[in-house]
Amino acid sequence: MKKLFRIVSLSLMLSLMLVIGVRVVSAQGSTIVIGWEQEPSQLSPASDMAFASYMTNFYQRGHVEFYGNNAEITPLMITEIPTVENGMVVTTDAGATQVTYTLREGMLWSDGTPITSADCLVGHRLYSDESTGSFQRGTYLEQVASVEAVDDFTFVMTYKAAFPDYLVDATPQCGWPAHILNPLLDAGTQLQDMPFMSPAGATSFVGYGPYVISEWRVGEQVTFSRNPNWGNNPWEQAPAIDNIVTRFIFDASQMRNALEVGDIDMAFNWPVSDAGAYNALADTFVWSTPGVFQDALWLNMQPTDSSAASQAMADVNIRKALIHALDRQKYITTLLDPDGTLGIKVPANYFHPNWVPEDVQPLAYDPDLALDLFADAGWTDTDGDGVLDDGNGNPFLIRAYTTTAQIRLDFLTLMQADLAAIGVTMQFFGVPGGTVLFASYEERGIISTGDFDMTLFALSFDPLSPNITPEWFTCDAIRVPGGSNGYGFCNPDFDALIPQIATTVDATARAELYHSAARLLSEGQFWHGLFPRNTFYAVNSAKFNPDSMVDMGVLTGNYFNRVEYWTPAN
Amino acid sequence: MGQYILRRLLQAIPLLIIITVIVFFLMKTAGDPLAELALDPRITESDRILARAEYGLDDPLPTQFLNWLVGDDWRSRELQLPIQQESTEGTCLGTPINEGERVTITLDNGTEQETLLQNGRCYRVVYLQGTARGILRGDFGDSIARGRPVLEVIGAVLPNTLLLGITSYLVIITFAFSLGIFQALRQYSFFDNLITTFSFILVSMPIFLVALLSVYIFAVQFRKWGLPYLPVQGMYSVNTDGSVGDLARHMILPVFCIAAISVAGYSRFVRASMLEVINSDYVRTARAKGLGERRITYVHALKNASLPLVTLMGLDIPFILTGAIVTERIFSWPGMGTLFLESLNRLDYAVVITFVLMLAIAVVLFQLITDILYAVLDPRVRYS
Repeated sequence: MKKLFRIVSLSLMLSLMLVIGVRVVSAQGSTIVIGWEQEPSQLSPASDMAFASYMTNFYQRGHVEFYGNNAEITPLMITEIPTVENGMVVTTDAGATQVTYTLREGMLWSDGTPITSADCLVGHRLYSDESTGSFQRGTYLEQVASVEAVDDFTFVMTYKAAFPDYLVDATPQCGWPAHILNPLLDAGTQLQDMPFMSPAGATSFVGYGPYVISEWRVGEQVTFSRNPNWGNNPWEQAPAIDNIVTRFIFDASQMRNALEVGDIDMAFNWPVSDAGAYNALADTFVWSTPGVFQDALWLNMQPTDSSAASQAMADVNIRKALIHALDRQKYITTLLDPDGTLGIKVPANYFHPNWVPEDVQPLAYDPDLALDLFADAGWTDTDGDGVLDDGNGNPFLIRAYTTTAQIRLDFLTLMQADLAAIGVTMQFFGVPGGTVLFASYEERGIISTGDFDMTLFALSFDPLSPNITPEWFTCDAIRVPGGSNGYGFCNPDFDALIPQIATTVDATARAELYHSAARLLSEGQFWHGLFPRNTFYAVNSAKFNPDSMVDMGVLTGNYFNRVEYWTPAN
Repeated sequence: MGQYILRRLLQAIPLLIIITVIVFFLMKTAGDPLAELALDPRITESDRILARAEYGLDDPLPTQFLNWLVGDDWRSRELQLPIQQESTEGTCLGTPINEGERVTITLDNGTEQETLLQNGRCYRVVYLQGTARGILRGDFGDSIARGRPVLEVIGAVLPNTLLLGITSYLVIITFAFSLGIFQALRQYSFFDNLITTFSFILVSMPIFLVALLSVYIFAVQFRKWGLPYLPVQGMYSVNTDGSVGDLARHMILPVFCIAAISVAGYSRFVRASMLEVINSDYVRTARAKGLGERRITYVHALKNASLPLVTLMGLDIPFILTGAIVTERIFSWPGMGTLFLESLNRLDYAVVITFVLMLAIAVVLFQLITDILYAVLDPRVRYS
């Protein structure tokens, strides 16, 4: 009897577990679930978190959109892109850029209110008045003089000086509905304190985009549903997918598991080291898009160390020889892209590929040429010990520094072997990034003070603008407080190009300028790309059509801005 | 007893103060939560100064501690915000001004603005009134990462943690006692040895390994084998009405992971205590008096055998409040553990300190409760 009781109890327990374990196939309809590794603090287009700004593309669009990996520009809220040629961009008598924008007629906020020029004035009010709250104004205050409405659908934005980046920086802010924000601002409420900015009030956020926020389960997910007031105009692509759910999964391996078991349909921003595991999943399409960081080698042109090898780095041919000795594409294949499916290539220049002329290419792997260049400079293996020397008993021994990131140390390990093969000894060190490698000049940071022969790190660029960060490249930033140019690149011609690029409005003339800048950087032979930091995606290709998704855009907050074009699998 | 409880509570006050001071200063020296704002070109210097002032980050450390304790709503801070608009030499916003001088300028919109010229740069002088009331007045501050009051942030996730923790604990108690008693009554039997083997294996495994293995087996592999499989993250499915069944499915793996190791450990304690007790004289006497075996085991023996367990559980229960950090992280459970890790990563000190303070209070309280329970369970124990 006891035994029977036990068997029955055990069977009941197992049945219960199976019943609970049976997957409930709920009416998912067309819902895509995206694994998101971090929960934003607030769903604000002015949020401090990049991840939130990607999410913003679901429910809040700007006046223009930058689609695709090459940043193709498309007017969204305006009738046409203002250019000098179409007369919508003019220079005032004071030399300032003035841009006229014409809003499309028929656009509606998600609550049904028409969008007019008055809404673009709210953005100006927010960005030009610091009492409206603390958030990302960027250079808006420095650049913009005024925004004035001409009529319900036309407004004019006047900058304080010539400003060619009017489409990508200090742009009109037409994403805030006047009928909602103005009363709150009049009452002295700061943007971040407005009720729709917190998770509890997020569903009342009024925006202009293909989706609206329909639910925010704190710590778990945010759900976006079709915006009923989007899709009525030809320029508003009605989304083919009814709902988007961003599901917060903080652990990278769990992200992959969640995709594998079907808890999510898309995983993104996972580490390159997981590419193989994602590729191995059934019904999974994996791809990547370029980011804004490129890991690169930075060679010291003005050595501080008194050793013969360090001093030799001042010779451009020695710097070229070192790079010719490195098979950089092999490192990528070995460490990042074993089967070549990710298509990762050695970057040609510090600038985003959009700003680099075609004739600027990475130095080829050619160890024989490297040896010739060393020999021409007086470095040969005179004593037959396999190490190059200068004939005075000084071996070619250099020091390389990077952060403690394992991938960088792995790259340096492979480089060390290639250099050893031609007789160059390289010692490398992984040091803390923030406190040692990138510390300021005053704090005796390795880069800022130039205390290295070679260093490996990534510096970001703006893929939408060829503007240059002076403190990393100009002559007056070499080893001084506030300067980061420890590698000693100094070219007065290059320095002169920086303000010209920043203020030349004519597109053709500007292209010539930044192509010249790219060439000068290349001729310096101090920057040599190793690998681009791509962003990686994986999607369930049995449920969704990857062809509709692969064009994700460049990383400037406009990821996911083609989400309305995504389609379910046939 | 009343005096004893009062004495213990009073003794806890300096302890909590010491813990608070240590954690506060450790967190404050761990780094600057708003440091990255300095690297973000989208944030102006003025916005950065304002943001830092809102959290009092530029005050001296002792002042920050004082603000956290008693608040700063009794004072205002003077802020000098750089004016970005162009200024020609010797003027600010078109008004002549001398170096080091403060003048009040009437702006185009009619408002007056105190302006300062310092080192050739124009500043807008503003006074920011403090708003914090301090923990002694029930204000635990605002979360820097979330921009909301700490209690609101914690309140949003605490129920999730309690649900997971209490459920896990019920499972732990049920299985630990059942298995421990079962093993003690069948010492050295096949099942005793089998359970002992599994207990040692589980006790020696870190919880993240148990979690990852359980995900691999019960979710990934079960799906491959065509069996019913379990969800691996979150509390509810994506499209759900919040049903209890859906919640239960999501709880199976996290509860299993939390409980497995604890059950293995606790059951060993129960087994050992029971073995000691069931061979004692008073149990033999009970048997001699003709009491039923069930009554002897569950009433007489278990009561005494559970004394060491009470101490152990008294130490463990406070951690229910704070969540199973590793388990919550792996299963993306929106609870206190996940919140703590994220706050730690983002140096959200107000959340971290409150978290630690909660844990400290819970430890003190449950230790007291444990001691009181001792007196209830063992009549020989007296507090006077």
